[in-house]
This record gives sequence, C-alpha cells and structure tokens, in this order.
Amino acid sequence: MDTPIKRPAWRGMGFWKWPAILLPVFCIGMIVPYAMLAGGTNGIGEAPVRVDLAGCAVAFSLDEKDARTVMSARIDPACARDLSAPLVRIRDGADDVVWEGALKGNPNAMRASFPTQKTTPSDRLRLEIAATHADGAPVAATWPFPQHTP
Amino acid sequence: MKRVWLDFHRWVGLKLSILMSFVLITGTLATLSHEIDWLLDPGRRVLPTVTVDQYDWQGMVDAARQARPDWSLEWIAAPIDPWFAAEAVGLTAAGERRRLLIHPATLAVQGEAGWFNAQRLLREAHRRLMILHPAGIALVSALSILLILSFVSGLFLYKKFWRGFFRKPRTRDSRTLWGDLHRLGGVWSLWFIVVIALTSVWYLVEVVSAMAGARIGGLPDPSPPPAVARGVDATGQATGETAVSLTALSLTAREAIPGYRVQMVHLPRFAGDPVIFHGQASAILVRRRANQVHFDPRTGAMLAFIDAQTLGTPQRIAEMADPLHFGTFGGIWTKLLYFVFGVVLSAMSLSGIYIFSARIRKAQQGRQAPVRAAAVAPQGVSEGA
Repeated sequence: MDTPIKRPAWRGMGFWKWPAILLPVFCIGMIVPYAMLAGGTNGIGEAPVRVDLAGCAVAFSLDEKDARTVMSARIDPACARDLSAPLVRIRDGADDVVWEGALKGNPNAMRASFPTQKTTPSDRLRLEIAATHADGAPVAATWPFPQHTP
Repeated sequence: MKRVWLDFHRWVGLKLSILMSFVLITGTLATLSHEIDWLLDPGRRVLPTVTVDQYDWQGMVDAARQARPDWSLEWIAAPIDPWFAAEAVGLTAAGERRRLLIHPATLAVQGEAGWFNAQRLLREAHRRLMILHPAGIALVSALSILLILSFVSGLFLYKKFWRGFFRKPRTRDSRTLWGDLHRLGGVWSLWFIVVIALTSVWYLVEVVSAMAGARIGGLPDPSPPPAVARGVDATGQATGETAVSLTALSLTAREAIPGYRVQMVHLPRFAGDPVIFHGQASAILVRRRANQVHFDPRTGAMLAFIDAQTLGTPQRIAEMADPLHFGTFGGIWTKLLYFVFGVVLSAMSLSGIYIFSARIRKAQQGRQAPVRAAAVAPQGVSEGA
C-alpha cells in the first residue's frame, strides 16, 4: 500500500505552527477594527464623565490597573489651545491635596495614573482638573470622587 | 558537526517560519508604504515634481487652517520626496485625526485623507502584529534572535560561503534549484540580515526596558539656545496660536544647528507649549527628531534645541535604528534596495520551508521504496536483482 507523504513542513513545525499562524490571523483580523479606531479618540470621547473646563468639554474615565487608578481624558482639541496642559488633583476637603499629577499626551488621549490607595472612598474626596487660561487666569473643574463609577 | 548545524538551522528556521515570513513580507512592503499611498491617493502626488529650497511653513499652516478652520493642527511634515505633497495633520472637533495634503510650492490643498492608510497598516502589522500593547512590539522584535541564530548556523553550514556569490544555481531538480537559490540569497543578504537583526535587537531592548519602567536611548533635555539666536520680535498674541511666522522661525533655527534643514513642525497643543522643529543637519543616520529647535510661539524666542551631534552613545544608537532598519537614509534608492533585499529575505524564509519539505519527502520516499519493491517482487527474486 503506497502511503502518500503530506505536508512534512507543517508537521515539522510541531506545536509552534499554531502560535505562528494564529498571530498573523489575529493581525489580519484586527485590520478592520484598527482602521475604524485609527486616529480616533479610542473611546475616550464617549467616556462616562463630562466636565466643563473654562468652556472646553472634557471627557474622562477612571480604570483600576495594578493597584493604580488610570485616568483617560480627552479635551476638545481646538479649545485646548487656549489652556495650559491640564493637571489632575485629588483633594480631601477644600484644601488638602492628596495627589497631584500632569495629564500627559495630546488633547485627544491624555493619561494620568495615581496609586489607588490614595483614593479610599470618602464623601470629602474631589477630583479636580486644573489649567491656566492663555490670559493667565487659573481655571478648574471638580467632580465628586469616585462617585462617577457605575 | 555539519549535521548538528543543519538540524539547528532547520529547527530555528522552521518552527516559527510562518510568523517569520509574515513579518518579513509586511516589513518588505512597509519599506515602500509611502510610495504605495502615493499610488493609491492622487492627492499625495506632486507632478511635475518640485524642489523647494525653503518651505513656506507658515503658508502651509495658513492653507490648512483656511481649508479646515475647525481642526486643531498638530504638525506639518515636508514632502519626503519631490514628487510627494506636504502633509498637515490635525484633530477634528470630534477628535478624529486626519490629514491635509498640500502642494509645497503653490500651497494649494490638493487632498484630504484619514489617518489610516497603507503606511499605518503596514507599520502596525509589521511592528506589532496589530497588538495594541508593547508586548506586540516585543514579540515581533524577539524574532530577531531567531534571525541571528539562522544567520550564524547558516554560515557554519555553508562552507566557504564567500565563494558562493557568483555560483550559478543548479537546475537539476526543483529542490536543488531552490536550495542553491536559498544559499545564493543568503550570501548576498548577509549585510542586510545583520542590519535588520541588530536594529531589531535594539528595538527589543528598548521595548523590554520600557515595559520594565526603564528608559534607554531617550533624547536628552533640550539645551538652552545660543545667545545670538534669541529675540525675534514679540507680537503678544495671547492664545496658543503661533503669532510669529513659522517660516521666519525656521530660518532662525538654522542659527542653532549648523546646516539645519527643517522637515517637520509640531504646533502647540496647549497654551504655553513650544513650537518644535524637527529636521536634519550634519549628523548622519539619525531620525529627524534628533535635531530639534523649540520656540515660544508668542514671542518667537528660541527656547531650547537638541543637536544630534551632541547625543550620547545610547541615544545615538536609538536615533540610528530607524533609518537603518527602514532604509530611509538614502531616499528612494535605499528604500528600493531594502525592498529588493526584503523580497530576497522573505523568499529565503519561504524557500527554507520548501527545502525542508522536499528533503523530508525524499528521505521518506527513499525509506519506502525498498518496502514497495519487496512487496511487488515475485517470490524468489531478491531486492537487488
């Protein structure tokens, strides 16, 4: 009986053929979602919290990641040109600043992250996004923290 | 010993050969990705070609703002070749990043395009397999280790390889032909494999260190400007818009870095941000961001600059990696050269699979032949008769 010899290379690859073929398949499968997302706000524009910062719409969301809270924010890009790069503060009460850091990135996709232990839920906590207007005036928007979470 | 190297070469080359071939093919196409976009989108074409000595950066910004007043412009990039349009990239009010294509001489806006194009597709596919996490870059760049192992084992396997540059491939049968082409492509691609593998190893080091929280090869903080270059007249416009002509600033930038040719202008995103020029000067084999000049957009005062000539070794390596890996350092001709050798390297990966298959098939057929002969032979007739 003559047994045909098929695909020796395929067999020779062993287990490795599966990741080797699945990764390109994943890559090709991601083309359409990537094309739809490319250059966009990556969902930040639809973030659950919206505040007004000196007339500029700011949208942001907070996500827990590795014992840190990551803030993803977006500000109307044309409006942002009249504001300095925003800072984020967590205030306990009116004056006590628990944490302060810069929102880094372009207006479309800004990020800041802070240790989650700084933000033990409390009625007194306030999240503040602050900037300086081009005319020199300080501007800020505050939000009860972390009451935005669903 | 040759057997050991052969097994090793085969093992390294075969196990992930499908992934390696995919990365090599996307990388090969990526070398000409801008040219693919040029073919696909008439708005990118400048025909007849124009060579502009001094770009009118302010004119291009004005043209873009006139065409799309609701956009927030992020940057303007000079044409990569005389037959390309300049590109202005901005964010729409909805937050979508888009491109305007501007004729560099007439300043006419001759097209508009989305952010996603062939260049983005091929870059993201080749660089990270579309995995939107640094692990994707690490995964792809880790293939450089396989490339180096294939390279080294191939050299040990091919005795006196330096005699193989002009050896005519034998056409006895398909396996012999592909085997000879595999070796011929290998010896001619030695330099290319070294360049691609080493730059990829650098990318691996960069991304792994970044994932671990370390920063290797980052640019230094910009230096204060030379005293002579300070003091363009202030116009005092109290917004984030540039109040001083960008074209005038680009001329001033030449005072900071000798021989400076501006290739890109980053506009302020927030009030108080600088205008940042990127370009090329006397340092060879560096990205355009390695030569930077920062200006205050309201007063035109030069704030700081980075001259690539002053970079430290890790920074210089980091800035060299892209031009060497992409083949952009010599314009279209080096890109075409990289494309040709990319085709050769991709063909080597695929031909390696074929050679392995053919060799195994032949060996198995060889083992089965005596069995078949014995099965059909009449009683009393020996196998060798």
